[in-house]
Amino acid sequence: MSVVIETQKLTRVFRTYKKQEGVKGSLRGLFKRDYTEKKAAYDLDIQIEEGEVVAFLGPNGAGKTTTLKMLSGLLHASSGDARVLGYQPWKREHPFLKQIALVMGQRNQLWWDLPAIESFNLQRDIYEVPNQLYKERLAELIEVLDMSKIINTAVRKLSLGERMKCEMVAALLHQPKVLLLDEPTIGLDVIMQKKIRSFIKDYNQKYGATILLTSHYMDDVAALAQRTLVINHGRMVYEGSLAELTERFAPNKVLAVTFSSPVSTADLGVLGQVVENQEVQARIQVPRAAVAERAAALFQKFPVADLSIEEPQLDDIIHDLFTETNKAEIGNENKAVEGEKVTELAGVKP
Amino acid sequence: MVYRWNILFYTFLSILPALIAIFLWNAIYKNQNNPEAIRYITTYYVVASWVNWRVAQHQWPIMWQIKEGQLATDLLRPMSYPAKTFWYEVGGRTWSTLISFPFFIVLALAMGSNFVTPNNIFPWLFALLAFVISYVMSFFLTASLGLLTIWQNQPEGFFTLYDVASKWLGGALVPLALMPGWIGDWLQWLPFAYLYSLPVKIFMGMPFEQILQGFAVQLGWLTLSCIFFSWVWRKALDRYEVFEGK
Repeated sequence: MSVVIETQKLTRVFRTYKKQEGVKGSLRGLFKRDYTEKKAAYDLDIQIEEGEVVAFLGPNGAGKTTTLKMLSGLLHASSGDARVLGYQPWKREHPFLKQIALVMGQRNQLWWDLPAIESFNLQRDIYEVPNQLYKERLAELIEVLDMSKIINTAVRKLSLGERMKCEMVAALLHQPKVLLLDEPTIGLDVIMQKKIRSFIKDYNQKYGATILLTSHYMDDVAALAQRTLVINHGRMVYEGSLAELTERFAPNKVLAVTFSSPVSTADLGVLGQVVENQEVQARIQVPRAAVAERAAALFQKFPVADLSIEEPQLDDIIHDLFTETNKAEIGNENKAVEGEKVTELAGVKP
Repeated sequence: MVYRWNILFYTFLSILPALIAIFLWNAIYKNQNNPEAIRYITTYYVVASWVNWRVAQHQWPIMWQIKEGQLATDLLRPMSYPAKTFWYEVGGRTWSTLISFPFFIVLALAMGSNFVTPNNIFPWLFALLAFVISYVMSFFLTASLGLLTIWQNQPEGFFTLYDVASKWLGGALVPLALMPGWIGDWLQWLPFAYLYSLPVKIFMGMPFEQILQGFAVQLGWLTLSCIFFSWVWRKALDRYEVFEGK
């Protein structure tokens, strides 16, 4: 499998004007401006092989969308390099642009006042898709996404879910080899989310497209991603499979047990950390490796009526991961500040 | 239907400034018994208002495309954004020209003998050529202006200043011949005179040597504006941060 997306120390820095509040701040800003530099993406090293579906996770402001924009050529990198299909994205060469698609859940590429079919026809001309191939692909996409009733309706009159389906069609008419999806299911109802996920999965399997997707919905990640990249404050904090992520950052499982008669928290405490104990129902957190042993002990020592073993929610795992990395970031900043203070006290100029 | 009425109203508005100017200047010259001046002014404003409304101001649509994120969508496509913007406007202007043509015909006919047309084909052709060059030059100048939105996201005031200044300095509002001597001489060397005035003056009758000189200066400004636009476009792509909307 060849590497389709590769970055080396990819960095993007945004310089923003830090305006002071109030009238005084506004006047001061006329003569002296303070700027802050934010590293939206910092030293990212990414490798994605052909045909992979990779989830790109991170909290708001982590740098996911910035990275996708650099990989699609919308943004120039401040430093470092990126190659997508062998091209440097921000050179925006037409052969490169004809092979990629960027779908952003909050952005619309369709003509607002015209029926979607007009936008599709325009896409055909822009991407130079042969007419016969265009008709075949369009027919297939319309059938799979069940869109025959909406393609002749002005886009502004479509619901969000219908518009999203049209956006997907517009993005895939030229059969891109690399698909960059930025929160493709945002704002959609559960049924539509499932449809879009299923569609993306089928597209990957049928055409071997390489897909990099960002999402805040863990169901998207669980359903689609073979591998996960986690970014926080512009830096990569994790790279690997979901299973590895779960093992590494969720070393425990939860035994959810129903007793025939109440059991005290103190008694349950010998098996693991009691997360919850409400008369006859309790939840006990135990190390992953010791699940079988503790479950057996539970049956031996207590009147168990029912038992289920719960995996931690992916949301909680990611949340814990972000919290840990945030603490680490604050810790590093504090060390840096303390280092400066020590240096000052020692009379050494920084 | 709403869009069609909108275009009709907008097209009708394109002749109003000419009508107002013609009536105003007619009132000024009425008591001076100067039919030549009236013919000059009438012809000037009919043709100048046509040129004024046909020379597109690209800074406004580009500004909105940047503010609303449409630029990002176009940058993702395998096409030249400047070319797309240019030809999109050409399409729109061609359509509005076709629709407005009857209105200008009516206006010209209503002016009667006060609207003087050239008596051979060459002024028509040279004027049209000058207009085409001015259209392309306007694209480069105003598109460069529009791209300033990437650095300064509230450029409306500056754009309006350019609109008014370019038309005033270019003779679209007042003929340059009526400006004080030293101003008129100085304005001949700015690009604005070649956006608006040159096509009108060629139509109204200009010695061939002056036409050639006019074309030479116009092509010089076209070249400079093209180079300037290329530079601004490269800088803009470097700087562009992809606004997510207003």
